[in-house]
Amino acid sequence: MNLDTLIFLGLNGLTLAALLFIMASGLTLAFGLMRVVNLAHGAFYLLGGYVGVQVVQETDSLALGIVTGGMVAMAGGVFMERLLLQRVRGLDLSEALLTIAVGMIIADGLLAVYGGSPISLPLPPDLRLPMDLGVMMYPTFRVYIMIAALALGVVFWLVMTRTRIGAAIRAGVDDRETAMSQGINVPLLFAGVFGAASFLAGVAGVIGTSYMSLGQGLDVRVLMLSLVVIIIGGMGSLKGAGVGALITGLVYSFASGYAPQFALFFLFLPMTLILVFRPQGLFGRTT
Amino acid sequence: MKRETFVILGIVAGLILWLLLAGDYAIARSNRAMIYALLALSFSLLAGRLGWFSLCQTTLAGVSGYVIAILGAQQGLPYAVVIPAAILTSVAFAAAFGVLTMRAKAVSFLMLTLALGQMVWALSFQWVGLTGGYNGISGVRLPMVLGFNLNDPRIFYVMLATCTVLIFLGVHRLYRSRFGLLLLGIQENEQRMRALGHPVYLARFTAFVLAGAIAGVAGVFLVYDMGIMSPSPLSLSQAVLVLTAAVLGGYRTIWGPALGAVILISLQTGVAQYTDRHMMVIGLVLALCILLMPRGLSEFPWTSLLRGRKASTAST
Amino acid sequence: MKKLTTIAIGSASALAIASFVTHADDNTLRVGVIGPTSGVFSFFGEQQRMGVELAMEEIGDQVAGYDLEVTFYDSQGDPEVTVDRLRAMDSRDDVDIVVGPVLGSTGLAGLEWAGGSGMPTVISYSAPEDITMRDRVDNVVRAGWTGAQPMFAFGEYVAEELGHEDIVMVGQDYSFPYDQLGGFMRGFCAAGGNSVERIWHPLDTADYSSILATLPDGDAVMYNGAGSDGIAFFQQYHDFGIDQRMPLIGGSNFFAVGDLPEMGEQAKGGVSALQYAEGLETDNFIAFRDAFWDMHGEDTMPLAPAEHGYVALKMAVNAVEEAESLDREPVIAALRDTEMEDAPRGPFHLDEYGNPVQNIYINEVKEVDGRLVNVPIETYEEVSQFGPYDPEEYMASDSYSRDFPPDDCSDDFYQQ
Repeated sequence: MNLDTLIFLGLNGLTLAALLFIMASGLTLAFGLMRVVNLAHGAFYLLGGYVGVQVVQETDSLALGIVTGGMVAMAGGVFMERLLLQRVRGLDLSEALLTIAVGMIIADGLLAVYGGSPISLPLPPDLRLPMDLGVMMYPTFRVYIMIAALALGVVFWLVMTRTRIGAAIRAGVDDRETAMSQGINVPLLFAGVFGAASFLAGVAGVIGTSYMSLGQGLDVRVLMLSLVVIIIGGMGSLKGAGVGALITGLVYSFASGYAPQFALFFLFLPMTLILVFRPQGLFGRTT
Repeated sequence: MKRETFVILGIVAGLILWLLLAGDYAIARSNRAMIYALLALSFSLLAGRLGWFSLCQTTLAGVSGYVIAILGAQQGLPYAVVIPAAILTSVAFAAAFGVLTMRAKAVSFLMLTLALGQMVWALSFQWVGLTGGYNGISGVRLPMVLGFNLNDPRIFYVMLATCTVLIFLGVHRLYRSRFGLLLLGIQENEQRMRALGHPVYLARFTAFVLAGAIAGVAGVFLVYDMGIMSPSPLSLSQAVLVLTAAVLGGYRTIWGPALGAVILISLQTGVAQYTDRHMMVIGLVLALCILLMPRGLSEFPWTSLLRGRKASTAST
Repeated sequence: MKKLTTIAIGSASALAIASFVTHADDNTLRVGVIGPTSGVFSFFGEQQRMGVELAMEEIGDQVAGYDLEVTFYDSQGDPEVTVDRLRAMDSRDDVDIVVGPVLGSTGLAGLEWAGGSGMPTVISYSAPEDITMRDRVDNVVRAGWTGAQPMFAFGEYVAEELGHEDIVMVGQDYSFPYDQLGGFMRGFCAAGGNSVERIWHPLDTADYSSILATLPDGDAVMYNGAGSDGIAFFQQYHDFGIDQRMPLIGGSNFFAVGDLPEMGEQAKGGVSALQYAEGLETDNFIAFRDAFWDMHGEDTMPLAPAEHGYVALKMAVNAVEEAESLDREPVIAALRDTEMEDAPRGPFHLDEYGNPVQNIYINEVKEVDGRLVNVPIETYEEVSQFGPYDPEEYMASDSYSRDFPPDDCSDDFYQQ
């Protein structure tokens, strides 16, 4: 167990944590605001990933692929929120069950369109080259993934604390009725947050495919990972999503470095401990 | 009371008639339908009485199936030990899950049971030494008793139908008992029930464990029906299938789950001959149910009209 | 209440009617083909279906005076569904011979069911070795392979021709890779190899970076797995530049043609072993491949599951011609005597346990006509599922597992 290996494992954990944060932050935000848990989140990841990778393959533009993947997932999310969830608004469980149904339909549709073979993302070669981080060489695109997640976190923090939308979202989180009475356009806000959450899922789908291949069944795993992260952090808390992603990413990285057979066990261990000792999650509020 | 006896006799007569009339494959499908009816009942006990939608009832059944496969098929222990052990293991898992999820509300409960269920599913894949991993454990068979091969679909049908009818009957009684009413009361107003001095957490916990036991019985039949135990019954799609059956039939009534399971299994049998998109079909059925008849077929408006709007308040 | 009872009875009768459609016509040979044509593994099921369709076209609709009727069933890659579909074939659809299943778990479920029902069954691509070894039943034979079968030769090749002595294996943690490694180690140790260090990871691990961070040193790394895990491993192996340190070789499916475009140029030179190679140049193979392309388009390369499905249907039909009857006993006897001189993959015959004795090809990824394919660079002829070992002794030892056989070639196990 030398220092280089530890740094290597730490960086790997941070990369995974970054990806997990991008996946889970939208999910937890939507839950905090609307009490809706979007169980189609994994399917949106898959949708964004497949469409995005196809765009990259055909246009050779990574940026275009990421944006398209995100937009397609966002369209799906807004569509689902406006046309379906709207009809059962207020019935939290019905909304959750509807998202399960939509997730299954999307995943099966993708299987019909794209087939069952796994695919990977053709990155520009220079992004795959290692970058000198001072402590060690590390693939450039992985560094960018970490920077992207960090930037996302900063943007979230600014939006939530400095803008009217943020204030509205926080008001919505704390007290829906008050928010409505203050003249905030709640339906628009809901659609916007849902769209943003789905956008992030789609973006994560494209970015994640840079090193994890995309395939059928991944939708459920992505959903699981996101749930683990927000259960640890506390449902509805952005800070919680960040910390939950860090814990999950690092624990998973060190576990698969030193005991790969038990990696899954270690993936679920923090969640189980949290459920036993602090059921509302690290930063969750008891309701 | 008399009407109830009449209905029960009718159901039993129907089941016997079916046994005499139906072909072998129809019997095999009916067996599957009854197993799913039990699972859907286990789900509905929590969903209908407590407003708790669980995505881990199939997991509890799977756990029981693995115990049968490991102790029975691999270790060769006697059936009298294996079957009670399987159901007890399901109960133990249900108790553990119950403790972990006791304080969660509606949507959080759904997410927690999803996460816990998928965790066990992942472990069943992973713990190859115990579960055989992806390939599973094969050779799970019932014995010959007095010259009867209990694996024969028709004999299996008799055993399964007997258990199913008895369990449905038991749950029917439970719904009408004071305990059943207490559960409904908790769902409607937990604070009030607590203020009245009712043991709210204990009641919920008991319901969860009971539902786990029913799932355990379903798991026993499931594994003997398949002859092999693999992780697939623990997967999310199976949990959603059971949920869809309960929502389709109506999880708040006693026979809704059975109705939903029968329709869904028939639908699957029919759909399988025409299309490979069965997941999409289940997804569509689920979505339509929630949008058009959230209380399921058994409480579709015309029936509640028929019964004089007796149905109590919704709280989904 | 009554209305609902009516609904219940109504839907139940629908179920009954659906299942009453039985055939009593005895002049038809009905073959049921089962494979995963939906779900995560649909690629394999589709390949089998395409192979079977090609065989159907070549056979025509008459076999030994019987009308041939082939029906496809979707296993969804799920043992539970597999058993259900097999029951439907037997008791609803009057099927005479089953072709399939394709996957490991469904193959074992199929074996379990076939053992109870006595249905003549030609397992196609499914590779658990006990199907034709420790758990074998008379009425089940196999058109494909066992997990260890191609790897005896591969182990020998890696030790003798490539000269590697110490191998680091990273593999998916389940029985198929165990079997693959088991065969590899027997061949590798017998041919002068030294040791294999094994690292097992859970199926569907997406992130290998930390496994790669702690990867021990060796002469080469063998990735013992395939599919989306294989692609992700391959990608990350190169991202971290470990290919500069140790060459990467693969288990039988690692360099599968469907995955090669995702791996790209870097896959060139990758070595693996299988009883099949899409770069074969024999007349039989080229005829098969061209006919397949005519039927399904040149974009789809026929892979082992397609060839095994194709061959499995031919085995079934040959057996009926041989037996001149649909009675199970003579058909099973004829199946067990199968000899295929002209199979696309090369000639094979079944051993007395019902598994092909066939060529094993050491394949290298090369670019042929603008696409990456596995081209055979070495052929080992007449390899049985037991390799060079005595069947009874082989079956007396434990099944391969996570830590069996031993990882050190000096262990007594290898000295027998």
